[in-house]
Amino acid sequence: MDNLEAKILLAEDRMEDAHLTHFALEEAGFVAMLHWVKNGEEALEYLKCEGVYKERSPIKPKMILMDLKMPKLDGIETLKIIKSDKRYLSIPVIMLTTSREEVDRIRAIENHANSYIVKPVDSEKFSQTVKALGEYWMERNFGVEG
Amino acid sequence: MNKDKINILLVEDREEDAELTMMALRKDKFNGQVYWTKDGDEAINFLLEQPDPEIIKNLRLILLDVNIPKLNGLEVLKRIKNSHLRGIPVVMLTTSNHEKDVTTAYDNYVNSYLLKPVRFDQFQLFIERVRYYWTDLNVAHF
Repeated sequence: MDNLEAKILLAEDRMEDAHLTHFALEEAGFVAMLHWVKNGEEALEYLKCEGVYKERSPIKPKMILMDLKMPKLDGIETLKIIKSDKRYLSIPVIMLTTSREEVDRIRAIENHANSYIVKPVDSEKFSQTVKALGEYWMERNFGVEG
Repeated sequence: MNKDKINILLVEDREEDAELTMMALRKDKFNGQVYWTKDGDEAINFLLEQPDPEIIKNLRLILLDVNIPKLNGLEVLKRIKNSHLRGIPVVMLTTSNHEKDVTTAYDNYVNSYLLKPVRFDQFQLFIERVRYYWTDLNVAHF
C-alpha cells in the first residue's frame, strides 16, 4: 500500500478498515494503484509532495477516499483545505465513514465533498461498496489529468 | 428509505437522448420519478421555483447535459452550487472530453463528470451504474 504515484489515496487511521478497503480494491483490480496514509496531515503532505513525499513526482490521484474521524487533521478539515486549493479541488474526494450523523454529512457537503458513503457494517457489503465506488470513480468518472 | 419516492432530474435538450435515458432507468427497475427539463432555464426554474418541496426533498441526482440551450450546463451547475440546493449531487454528462469544460466544472464543484458511452449497447449498463451509485450508495443530500 505504498505506491507513490497512486491513483487512489486512502486516508484512514484504523488499520483494520484500511485493510478491508485494500482487500476490496484488490478484488476489484485496483490495489496496485493504492496509497494509504493514516491522517489528514499525511494526505496533504502526499498531495503537496512534502516531507517524506518530497521525492515523489507530483501526479494527482484520481480519487481520494477519506475517513471522517482521524487524528492530527480530521477528514473534514483536510477536505476543506483540498477544496479551497485550486491545484487540488478537481480531485474527487469521497468521504467514507461510519457516521450516519446528519451534522457530519452536512459539514462534508458544505465543504464540497464529491460524495458521501456510509460504510456498511457487514464486511461482505463493505467489500461490494468499495468495489462499486472504485469502479465508478476509476473507470467512469472523467477527471482532470496531471 | 422508501426508494419509490426518490427523484432524478434529467436536463437534456435532445428528446431522443432523454427518452433513451428514461427508458434505461425504467429497464433498471428504477421506481422513482424522473423529471425531465429541456434547457437550462427550465432546469433552474424547476429547481429554484419548485412549488412542491417534496420533489426537491427527494431529489437524489441531477443528470445535467453540458451542451444545452438558453443557459448552458456549466451555468446551471454554478447556479445550483451557489444556491440552497448545493447538496444535491450534480453529475454532468457529455460526449466530448473538452478539457476546459471539465476543469471549469470541477472548479464549480460538480460532483462527477461523465463521458456518455458512444455505443448504444453500453448505455444501459452505464445508466444502471450511475443510478446505483448516486441513489443507493451515496447519501450526500440535505
